[in-house]
Order: sequence, then C-alpha cells, then structure tokens
Amino acid sequence: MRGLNMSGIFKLFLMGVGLVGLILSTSYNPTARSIPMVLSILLILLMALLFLQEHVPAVGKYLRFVGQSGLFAEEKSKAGSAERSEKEKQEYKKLYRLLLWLVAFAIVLGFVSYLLAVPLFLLLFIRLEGGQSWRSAVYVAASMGIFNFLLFDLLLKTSL
Amino acid sequence: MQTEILQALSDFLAWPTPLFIILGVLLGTLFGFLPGLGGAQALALLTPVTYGMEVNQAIGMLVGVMGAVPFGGSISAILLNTPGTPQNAATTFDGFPLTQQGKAGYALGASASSSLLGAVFGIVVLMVLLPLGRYVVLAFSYPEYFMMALMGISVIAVVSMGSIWKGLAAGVFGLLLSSVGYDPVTGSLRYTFGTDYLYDGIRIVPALIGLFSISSALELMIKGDSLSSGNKVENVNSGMSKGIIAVFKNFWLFIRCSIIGTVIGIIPGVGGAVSNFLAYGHAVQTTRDKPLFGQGDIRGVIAPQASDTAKDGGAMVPTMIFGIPGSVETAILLGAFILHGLQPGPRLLMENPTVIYIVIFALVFSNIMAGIVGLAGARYLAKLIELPVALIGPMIIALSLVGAYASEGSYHDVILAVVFGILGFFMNKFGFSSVPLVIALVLGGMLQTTFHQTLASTGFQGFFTRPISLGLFILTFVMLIVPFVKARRAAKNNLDQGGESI
Amino acid sequence: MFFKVRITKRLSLICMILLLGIFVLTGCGQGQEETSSKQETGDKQSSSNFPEKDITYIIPVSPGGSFDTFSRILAPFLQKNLPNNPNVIIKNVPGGSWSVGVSEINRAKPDGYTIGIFNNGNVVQQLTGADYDLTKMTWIGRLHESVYVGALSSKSKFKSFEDMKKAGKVKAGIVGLTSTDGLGALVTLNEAGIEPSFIKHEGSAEAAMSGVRGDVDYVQLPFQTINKFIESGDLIPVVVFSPERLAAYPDTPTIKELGYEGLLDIVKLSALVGGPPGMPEDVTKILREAFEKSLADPEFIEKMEKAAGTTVLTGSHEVAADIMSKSLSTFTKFKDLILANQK
Repeated sequence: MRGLNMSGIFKLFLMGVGLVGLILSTSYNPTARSIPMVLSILLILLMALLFLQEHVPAVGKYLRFVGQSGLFAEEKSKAGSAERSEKEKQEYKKLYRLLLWLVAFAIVLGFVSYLLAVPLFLLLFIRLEGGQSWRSAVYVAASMGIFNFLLFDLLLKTSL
Repeated sequence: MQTEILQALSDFLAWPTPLFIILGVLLGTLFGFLPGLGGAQALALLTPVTYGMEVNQAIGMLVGVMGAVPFGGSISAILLNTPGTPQNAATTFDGFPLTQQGKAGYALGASASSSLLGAVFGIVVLMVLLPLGRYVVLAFSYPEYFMMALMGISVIAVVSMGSIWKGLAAGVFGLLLSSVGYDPVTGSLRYTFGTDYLYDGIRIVPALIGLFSISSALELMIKGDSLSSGNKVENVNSGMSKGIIAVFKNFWLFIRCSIIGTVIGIIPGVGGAVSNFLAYGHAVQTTRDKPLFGQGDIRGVIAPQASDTAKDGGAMVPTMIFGIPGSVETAILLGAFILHGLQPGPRLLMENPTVIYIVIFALVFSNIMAGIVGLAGARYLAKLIELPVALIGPMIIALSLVGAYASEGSYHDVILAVVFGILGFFMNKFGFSSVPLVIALVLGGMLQTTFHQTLASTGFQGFFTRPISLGLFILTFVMLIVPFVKARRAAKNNLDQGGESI
Repeated sequence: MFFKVRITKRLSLICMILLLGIFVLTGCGQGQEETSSKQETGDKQSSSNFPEKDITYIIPVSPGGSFDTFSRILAPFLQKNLPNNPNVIIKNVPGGSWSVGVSEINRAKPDGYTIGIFNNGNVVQQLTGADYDLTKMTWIGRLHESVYVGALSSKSKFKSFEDMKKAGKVKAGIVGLTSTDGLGALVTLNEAGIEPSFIKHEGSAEAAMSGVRGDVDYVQLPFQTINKFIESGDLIPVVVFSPERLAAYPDTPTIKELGYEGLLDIVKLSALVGGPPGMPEDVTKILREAFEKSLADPEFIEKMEKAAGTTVLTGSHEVAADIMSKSLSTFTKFKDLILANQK
C-alpha cells in the first residue's frame, strides 16, 4: 500500500465515519434506520473506491473512471521532487501551529469572557505568529475589543 | 385599491417612519454582515423596542431589517469568503475570487443592484400572484417538497468543484450528518451520543461558519498573502459602477433567478439557504459563453443575491395570506404583528389591506437604503483587502468564533464551528469540496422527513402521480443529465483534437 | 503602516457611530428607567426588598410562536405590577423540544430572579429522562389555556365526528405522538373507537396545513393555531374540547356532548408560569401577586384576547400545579399506547 499519506488517512477516516453510522443505525426503529443505513453503506463504498483508486495502484488501475477530476482538482501530481515535499512539510507545520492557536482560543473562550479572550488572542497571535509590529497588534486587538463590547453589550441584555 | 395604496404610501412616508426604517436597515446590514448573527437575532432584539411605537413604524423597522440582511451578508461573503448568513454561502464561490483578483468593488456593486432589483421583482411578483398565492401554497405537499429538496441536492452534481465522485461522497456525508437529532416523523433520536446539544441536529449556522469562514481563514493564513493575492486592486468606485450595470447585462439570468427565489419564498419551510444554491446551480447550467464559475464569474454573484432578496417578497405570501411563517425571521415578524394587534391570515387581506402595502413599501425602501448604506460602508471595507493576511486572518477567526457563540448563546456552537472548520479545511485540501456537504446538510432533513411523509400519506406512487411532483422530478433528471452529456461531448472533442485533458 | 492605521481608524469610527445610535435606541426601548418608588406589598413579613435587580424570563422556544407572544404581552405588565418596577427581560432558550430551556429554569438559583414559561406537554421530556421534576417547580400561575378544536378538512369525505366513527378509520395530521396535540388526538380517537393513521409534522402550523391541503382528514389543534383556517373555510370544526360551546363556533358540539367528558382533562394546552424549585415563600408571594394583578388588568386582557383570538383562561398557582401533576399521570398512563403506535 504505497503512498499512504494524509490524503489516504482522511479517506479512511471518512470510511470510519460511515462504519460508525452503519453500526449505530441498526439500533434504531425500522423507519428511522432506513435512510441512514443506506447512506452509511454508500459512504463506505464510495470512500473505499476512492481510497483504492488513489492509494492501491494494483487495484486502482481498474478504477480509472473514479479518478476523473472536474474543474478544480486539488490533487497535484505525485511528482515527488525533494523541494516539493519540503514545502509541504513546512505547510503542515504551519497548519498544526495554526490549529493549536485555534483550539487554544476556542478553549479559552469557554472559560474567560469573550471581552478578554478576543483581544488577548488577537494581540498574541498577530504579534507572535503573524510577525507584525506591536502597534498593529494592539490596534486590531483594541478595536475588535471595543467593537465586541458595543455590539454584545446590547445583546448581552438578551442572550449572552 | 388605488386609494388604499395611496393611503399606505402616505402613512409610510409620514415622518418618523422613514427614520425607523433606516435604523432597521443599519442594524440589518450589520447583523447580516457578521457571521453567526442574522435577521432572526436582529428582529428578536428589536421586537421589545417596538412596543411603544405605532404599527407603521414598527413594521417599517422590522421589515427594514429583513430587507437589508441578504445584502449585508454578501459583503462579508465577497470580501472575506465568509458568508454573513447561510443564504449568502453561494455568493462566496465567485464573490471572493473576484476580491482576490482585486475586483471587490465590481462584485459588491453587482450584489447591491441584484439584491435591490431582486427584491423589487419579488414584490411585483408577490402583488401579481397574491390571488394565486393560495393555490400555490396549497399545491405543494409532501411529494413536491421532496422533489424540491432532491432538486436542490442534485445541484451538487452541477457544482462539484473537483471530481464528481468526491462531490458525491461529500454529499452523502452531508446527508448522513443531517440525520443527527430527533426526527419528528419517525419519532426517534439518532446519532446524538447522549448529548442534549445534538438533539436538534447539527446547527447550520455554526457548521457553515466552520466550513466557510474558519477553513478559508486557515487556508489564507497558510498561503500567506493578502486577500487580493498581490493583484492590483482596481479603483473601487469604477468597479462598483461596473458591477451595478452588470445586472442589466445579464438581465434574463437575473429574472430567472428572481423567479426561483420568489417561488421558493412562497413555499413555506424552504428557505434562503436553498434558494441561493439552486440559483447558483441554475446559473452554472444555463451559461453558454465563457463560464468562469468558481473563478470570479460575476453571474455567480448576481444569481444567488437576486434569488435571496426575491424570496423575501415571496415569503410574505404565506405569511400574510395564511399566517404561516416560512422562516424564523417571518415567524418573529408574525409574532411582532400579533403583539401590535394585527392578526395575519385570511382576514388581514379583508380587514386591513393597507398593512400589506406598507410591508411592500418597506421592503423596497429598505433594499434601496441597504444598497446605499452597504456600498458606502463597503467602500471602506474594500480597503481591508490590502491589509496583510496576518491581520485579517485572526480577525476573521475571532469574528467567526464570537459569532458562533452569539448565534444562540451556546458555547457548544463554538466547538461545533471549530470542528467543522478543521473538517472543512482538510476536505478542501484533499479534493472534497465542502459545497455538497453544506447543501446536503441543509436539505437532508427535509428530504428524509418528506420522504417518510409521502410514504405515509400517498405511498410510493405519490411521487410520480402528482403533476407538480412529477414535473420537478423530470426537471431534476434533466438537470443531472445535461452536465454529464456536456462533459462527454467535451471529452470527445478533446480526443478528436488529440489534446490533453483540461 | 501609517496609511493602514488611518483606514482602520476610519472604519472603527464609522462602526462606533452606527452602533452608538442603535445602542441608544435599543437601550431606550428595552427597559424603562427603574423608578425608585417602593410599593408596599401588604403584609410581607421579611424585610427583603425583592426585586432589587432585573428579572429574567425564560421562554424555552424560538421567538415568534404563541407562547413567545403571550409572554411578551405579559412581561411589561409584570414589570408594572412588581414592586420597584424591575426590568423583566425575555430570554429565548430554544432546543430539545423545550427541554433545554426548562433545564435552564430548573438549574437557576431559586431567588426569584429567574422565572419562565412551561407547558403541560413538558412532562414527556421528564418521562424520557430529563433531569427536572415539573411537579416541584414553584408555580406562579396559569397564563392561558388553549382550547383544542377537532376539525375535518373541507376536502375530506367525512363531514362530522359521527362519520368518522362510522368509518372506523381516519387519517390524522399531528405534530408527533409525544406532543400534546398528538397524544390528545391519539387518546381521543382511541376512546371513540376510531383507528388512526398518523402523518407527523415538524410543527403545529405544518400539521394544520396538512388538513387544509386535504392530505389528512382530521386535525386536532389549539384554537389560535386553527381558527384562521376555520374562518377561511378550509377546516370544519367538529368538536371542541371545552365544557361549554365556544362563542366562535356555536354549532360545534363539545366533547362532553359527544359523550367523552373525561377527555377534557387530557386534551388541552396550558401555558404555565413558574420558577425553579425551592424559591422562598416571601419572594414567591410577591411574584404571584404581581402576576394576579397583571391578569386582572383590562389592558392586558384586551391584548391577550386579541392575540389568542378568544377569551383568556388564566388561573392561580394552585391551578397550575394541579394541571402539571395531572398531565404527568396522563402521559404516564398512555405511555404504552404511544409506544404501540410508534412503529
């Protein structure tokens, strides 16, 4: 199974979702389970097809029709040049850093009022990750903070 | 009827009613712009404010909000790839690429004029159809709703940006996700894993925020450019004028999309989230010359916006004629009407027709104002695109998460948005467009419910023995076949010419 | 750098001006200034100065429905009649078929600053695992009780309740078997010996429409939902679930006349106002008195009657408590019937 990269793992993940859907659907009453069951099976099949076509060349060559790309295919050819994979690695590193920021922000938002969390996040992120000057960071953080206050102070009376 | 219209017009223009309408427009544009907030929140916020006001002023303000939301939402869709409300999702497909090419003004101008004209069209149709409206509303029963949902979902095939198979997979995934929650028709709780939060299913607003705003912000930040990708930004003013005229250049497409929107508005229960995808899909299918969809085709902005605002006019039909709200916003509007002593329903037309005319005037007026306010404000916002992504990216993230939180005051929505944001990012990265997912998520519930309802009422043949249902089915079938045939033909041409695939 | 700073400055300025304007307007509309006039509330024993701050009123559904509308009519009157005239702030907490909002009321501090609205159908969630006990809530009173009306579609081949009984089978449109209207229809048809086949819908408006379109023969819904269709002639009333005939439908028999008086207790939709369990006596008394005063206000009655389309059936807290406990026993009794019909 050559080429089990992130793309392949993602497809397996979706196949897993379909499996979970299928297993759970068996516990529902007949009318309720009908459509989800069909959908889950479909999902598993589709993901299996896609996975095999891209990642298991031995089988994949019979499934050429699945690989047809439409207008805006994201998949780039697997011309494995060294600098390509280096760039990809960089991108992934940056992605994981961003995800960390995102999740951290979301978690903090759950504990601390948004009035504090938002400017804090903006300040830190823009300065540390974005590499901008302190001035820009403070500016954006402050204006967003004030904006939030004005807007959600109105709303604060009713929902948040 | 003449006297009533004149009476309504004079009531309407009596100061300070126009002031209230303008205030409603401001709030509506703002709430439309902010992801997570929309017409529903603005209306709920304003309802107590209207207590002390006269009926006309109250209606003016509330309808003013409703009219302005679709355009407000298009501003963030175009500039930030972040639909302000679910009904602006399709506007991002071509609106944002235009921004990236430095043509934000062009896109905004087109959105403004198509929104305004779409609303006018919707109202004209409303007035013409008012007597017929009853028939239309009554003619749509379970099989027809099912076919409408099916048609909406088949747009996936048209719009699959990527391989058809991956689009299908994304769609199936979306349909599966739409099964989450308590299903009234089968009376069962599915895929909730014991949580209260998932009882009502996966909420569209935070899911959309994740799939569109957050994931695109992530992409932007990884790519590292400014929003305009280093392209030169053309003069905003001239761009706007060009955009405003663009609607007239594509007049028939505009008319057709307005019709789609109005019809969807008349049918209670099918909302803006559907109309914008259907209109977009229609535009993609019916364009012959030089389609650039997904890369900044202005028709991709005109189509969804026209149908969004036309639907508001159409939505007044079931609301006023039957007292049946077609959406959350009209439901709140209805509640406000009742609070002011009006009883929408068959009686209203007879007892108090001036009210209906006031609603109509308010809708037109609010769209005009929204266009003016929006364009004026957007001129400054369009400068945003020159800012480095390191500033914009986190701002979008912050706005998105706070918007998700504010949408219903639930922290779980924030978590949902983040989850879908990450999901959406990886989906896009590996070639699975999130558009089919969204469409399926929005329509899946209706599809399943009406399927079971049809089986319970008329049995399986109900789908094919009723004229409207059968007609819609055939239409859907044709819609699906056409791109297939087109693709086959194109592939054949390429083979003949001995060229590479596109 | 300077250029960009100026732009963001301009932006923020515009936003702020816009919002300040809206802020002022909304602020003026939402709450009146709190007058410092303290009213005596008779013989209250404790020296507490309740209420000293805003009161939150929770509505466990989205804005726009009848419960929402009735509550919004009530709120300003409560404000007027409570000592110190606090703001009564409406908060919609939709989700989980009322259970999310009801849970929130249940969990709130029982200090009188959080109250909300309930309906007698909430017992279903309690029976299926929610963590609250509706019989323990601190009841303030009944805001309104909707009379159920059973109606046939104008397109149906049946023309009266007798016709349905003769046929022995009928197609009925309901919301769901665990909602008040669905259970009501199930029990009624069962009692009358009519075999129902149900089509379920997302809400009562959709259920009514199914009758209007003729997709079903029979619907059984609250007066304010169904009245407009009866007036337009799309639905024909065949029975009303009230002890006396309704002024609106003088020719329609009551369920009592048809011989099923026992159903009166079961088929109804009550809007009950209350607070979390364990609220102190004195606070509760103040709330109840303010509630009663509001209900007696002619302006309130006029507004409610217009909104509900019929006479308003209010009630004291004892009535409310009684309704809730009866509802619980009814739903418990019919649990098996529900399950049997839920294929």
